[in-house]
Amino acid sequence: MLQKIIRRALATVVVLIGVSIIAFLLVRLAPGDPAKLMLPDTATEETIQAMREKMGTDKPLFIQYLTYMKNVLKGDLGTSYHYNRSCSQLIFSRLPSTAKLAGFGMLLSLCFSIPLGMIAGIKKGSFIDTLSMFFAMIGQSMSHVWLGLMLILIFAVNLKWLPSMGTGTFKHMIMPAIVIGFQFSALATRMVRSGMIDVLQEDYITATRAKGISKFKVYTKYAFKNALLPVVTVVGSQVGAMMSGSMVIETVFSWPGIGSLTTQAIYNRDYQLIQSILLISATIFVVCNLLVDILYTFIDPRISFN
Amino acid sequence: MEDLLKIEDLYVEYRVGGTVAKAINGVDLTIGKGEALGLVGESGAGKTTTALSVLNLLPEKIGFITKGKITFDGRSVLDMSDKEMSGIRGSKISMVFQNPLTSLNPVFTVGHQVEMVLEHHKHLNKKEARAEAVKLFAMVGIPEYRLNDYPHQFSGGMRQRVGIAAALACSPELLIADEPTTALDVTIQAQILEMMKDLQKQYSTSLLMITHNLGIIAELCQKVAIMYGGKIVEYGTVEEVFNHPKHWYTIGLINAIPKLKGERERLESIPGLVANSQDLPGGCSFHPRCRYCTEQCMNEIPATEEVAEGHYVACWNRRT
Ligand SMILES: Nc1ncnc2c1ncn2[C@@H]1O[C@H](COP(=O)(O)OP(=O)(O)OP(=O)(O)O)[C@@H](O)[C@H]1O
Ligand SMILES: [Mg+2]
Repeated sequence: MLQKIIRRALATVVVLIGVSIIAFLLVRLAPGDPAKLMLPDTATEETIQAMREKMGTDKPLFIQYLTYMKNVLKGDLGTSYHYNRSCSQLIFSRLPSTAKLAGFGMLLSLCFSIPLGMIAGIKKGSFIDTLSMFFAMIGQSMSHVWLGLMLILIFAVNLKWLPSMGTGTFKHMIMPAIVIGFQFSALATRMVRSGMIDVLQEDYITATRAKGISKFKVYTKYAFKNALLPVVTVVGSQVGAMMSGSMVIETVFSWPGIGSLTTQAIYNRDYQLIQSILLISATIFVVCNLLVDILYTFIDPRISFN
Repeated sequence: MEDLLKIEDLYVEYRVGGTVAKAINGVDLTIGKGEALGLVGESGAGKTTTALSVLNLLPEKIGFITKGKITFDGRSVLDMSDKEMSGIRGSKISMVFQNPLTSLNPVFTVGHQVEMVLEHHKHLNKKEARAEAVKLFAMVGIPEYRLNDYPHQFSGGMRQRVGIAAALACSPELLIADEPTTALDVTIQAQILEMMKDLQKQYSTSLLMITHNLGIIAELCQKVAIMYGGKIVEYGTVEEVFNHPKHWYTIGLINAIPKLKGERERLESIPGLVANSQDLPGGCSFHPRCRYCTEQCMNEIPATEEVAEGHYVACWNRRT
């Protein structure tokens, strides 16, 4: 078991090296000379060249990459020229608030979609089932921006119940968390529902009922666990969806997280920062998936690592 | 002998989409206390449906009891509340399911699947239930250290033993065994049957043994009921029915058993296909496959007659 986990972790490292190369190349290949950006328009060719040397962009790509990786391994992600601060400092100061938002959004959507999906699956064909499927369809097709703006319009502008932007209190977190978790709750509702429908037809559920276990307990203890398994598998991949979603959502709600930092970095052509964010996000994504895979082997005894 | 289970004039339908399958069409059956009854019939005859009806566990919104009465220990099963029924299932009536590969929950340990019966009915705590489960597993020949394994780590035969251990956990008055050995290979079949025989004697449990293997019936049961197209076509003591079969379907079944002694004859098979519950033939369901079919057989449902003491047959043109 441990051996398998280690092997899987090694594979993760390979993926991350690939990601670092891609992140590095994407940023280098983008048009525009970062050195010029750092300097006023009036800068002479000489000062620009001096800047290039200082930034290391005059060297061959391969050497640049190696230098970069050497620094990364030392924990140095480089300096953001725009903010004039170290990238890692910038990223790690923003990371907790994104994590808080995504975590709360995920929790919110699970609290909502698991009961809804279960009831819909148990009462297949009923009104609540139709309603849940309607919600799932809308949820999967609605854009973050539109939903965010609508919520702001209703709850911040008209009803004045919730603040439309910023951070600090719990109230600030509600709307962005709903938006970030919305697509996932639609997906999860659908998965729990179909899982429940499938599981309830299984022989082992009839067998459990034949042991005298009440319907309620069968639903909430036994079928629940079977139906929930597929949802766990998508939680990992949802981390990626949430990170990309956070770019838009944090901008809409002025939430000071990684998402809005990314948007800013792109506006500012802050190459070093973009590259570091890419690397860190990818690491988070891959590690989350690894954790989910490990977790999955504990809840589903049939799956062993491979 | 006192009756433990009495099924009277039972009709069951499955409704899926637009189609209706008439799975049970007027079944009468009685099992006495301590008695073992074999229920025989081809695939699709309605054996599992009969068993699930007794537990009132037909698939919801699909299987419907349209008529009939089931009495267990003097009380009507179909009129019981959910709570009363939960008290009986798994304790007074328990069932071993047909397919051991699908009837254990894959994400719970085999130990838990037996312990949950004990926790529910005997109100034992986790520790007591474990101790009790260890004894039950020992009885069916599974060592203690395997209790924390999951079903996929077990072979089919071992899983069936788990099913049997769970079914026997509360020493039921009626054990329904739905083809407990069909999914297993022959040597394990024999072991499991031997075990069930011992246990039935030990606890004087009544047994409803569902199978299409007549050998098993001869080995284990006192009475036998032959089912075809959702009806009991012949019923009586095992000796009487096996030695003097009267219904042509029963005769066909008996002739289809290979014999080791004597000359090797060609095995006789029953011509035609099993009756389709979605499209049952009129009159006697067996008539399209019967060599002795008469005009009356095609049009009228045969009445059940007592041809010898305790030997009932539903056939217009039975063997004399
Ligand atoms: N869930 C269901 N939905 C629809 N039809 C069903 C369902 N279960 C059983 N039937 C139908 O009811 C009839 C009786 O089925 P049943 O399972 O009781 O047969 P059986 O005698 O147990 O057969 P086998 O030996 O194959 O287990 C069959 O014709 C079958 O097609
Ligand atoms: Mg069956």
